[in-house]
Amino acid sequence: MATFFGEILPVRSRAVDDDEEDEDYESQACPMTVRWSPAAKASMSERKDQKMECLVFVMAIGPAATGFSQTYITHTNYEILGAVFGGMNDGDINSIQQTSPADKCCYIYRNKEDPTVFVCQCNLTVLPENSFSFVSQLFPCFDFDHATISILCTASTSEYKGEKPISDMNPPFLRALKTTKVIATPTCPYLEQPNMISGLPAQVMAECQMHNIKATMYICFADTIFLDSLTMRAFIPVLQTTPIKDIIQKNPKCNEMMRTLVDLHSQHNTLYL
Amino acid sequence: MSDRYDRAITVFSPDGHLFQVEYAQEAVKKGSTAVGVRGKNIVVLGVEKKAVAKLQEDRTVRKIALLDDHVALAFAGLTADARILINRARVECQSHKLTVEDPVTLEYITRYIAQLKQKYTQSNGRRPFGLSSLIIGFDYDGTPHLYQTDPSGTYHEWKANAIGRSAKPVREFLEKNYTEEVAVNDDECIKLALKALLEVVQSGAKNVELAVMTDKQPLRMLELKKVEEYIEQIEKEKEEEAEKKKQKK
Repeated sequence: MATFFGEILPVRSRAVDDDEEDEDYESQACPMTVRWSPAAKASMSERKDQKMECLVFVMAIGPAATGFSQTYITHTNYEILGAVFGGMNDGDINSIQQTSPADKCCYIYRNKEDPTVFVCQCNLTVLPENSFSFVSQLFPCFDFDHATISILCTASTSEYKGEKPISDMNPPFLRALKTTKVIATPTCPYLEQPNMISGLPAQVMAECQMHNIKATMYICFADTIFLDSLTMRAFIPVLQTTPIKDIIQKNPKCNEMMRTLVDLHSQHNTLYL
Repeated sequence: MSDRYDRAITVFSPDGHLFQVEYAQEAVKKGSTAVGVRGKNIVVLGVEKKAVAKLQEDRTVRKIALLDDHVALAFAGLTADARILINRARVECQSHKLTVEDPVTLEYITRYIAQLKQKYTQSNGRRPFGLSSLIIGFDYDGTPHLYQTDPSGTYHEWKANAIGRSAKPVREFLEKNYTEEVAVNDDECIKLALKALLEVVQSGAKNVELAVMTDKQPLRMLELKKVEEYIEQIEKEKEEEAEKKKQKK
């Protein structure tokens, strides 16, 4: 009920039993599951600790980071090694083969030429309560002792707190966070206080910091709610950073690929013109 | 703090914000870019054309609308809100003609649209219109005008302006390149609007739509071929400039 002064007051009715409704809306923390291909299992069985040696790990979280990764990193010479399942709602629709870039899936890729390079592209909606499960299922399968990890994720400019107003910041823009083991300076400014990152990217960073792994997170603050090529291109400076600069190959079709990705994601966007 | 003052637009926050109006301005940024340029004898509207789905009819996805024979509007923001506003403006144009026996002036119709938008920022239970618009046209005396309105209900006249996503860099480009020499030449005005759009839109005639209006002439949507010709001219000029700079060095 809206009042004259604009406050919203809850309306109680004896005709409706409110208690029953609450149960449906509780989010259930369902555990994430990782499944590996026979090739991955074979690699793991080669070692006593059942882990795969990893020197480079790129984690792309969200449609923009995943789109960037597909266009510039995994466009050639990568095989699917495994996948993380979980977190899909009834309303989520995916293609049967789970091969469309717009699908809500999380695949782990390995470079065919260099089996110590892995890329995880996560398009799943991972709730904060599922993040621990995600990381605790995925990380024990890798030997990260000598690894360098890059995490790419996005956030909304409406969550960004800074000295300058957002209109002066020219979104999309990059910010970085790193673990203490990383000595080098990131290619973009550090994430200023009091901004915080939460959810899966934060869980991964926390895990890396706890286990003394070199990890850098690049967050792209964007003001669009739908995927667009400007947001994906905002990650381009990351291509010059270690370890990504050593594993990429030029993609002559990058513009075309980005356009296809944007089209795929914008099919439902008729709200704004 | 803002979440207590978000709910009803009739409530000011302690520091004087009307958050719903400001959020409506954010909604405008979700729409694709629209550019307007006013010349001496021509007014130009350029919009970023969204890729339509394969099975979708192209003609129902239009950012440029005709309000009367001599007035056109381009918007950025919520499509449905734009439809309502355009319909109300069209009715007002005809109503004015019937009552006063003169076509509306650009300022009149802009003020009408702006007042309608403002009303919705001060009514109980209603939200503001989530769109900004660029209104172009010629008054009866032959003067060209370009006006811009925003969700708060303010309107201003401009020589050249941009709205929607990436409006800021486009506006900066226009500020650098709009001169009186450009304004007197119709082709240069069209090219300026096109160049400004191409700053932020993926290059290609298929991704832009241009509409021009001259005095006592109906609104003309430029054909794809014509747009491609202009783009070729622009690229040629860019190359020539680059050559000149090389030679100077």
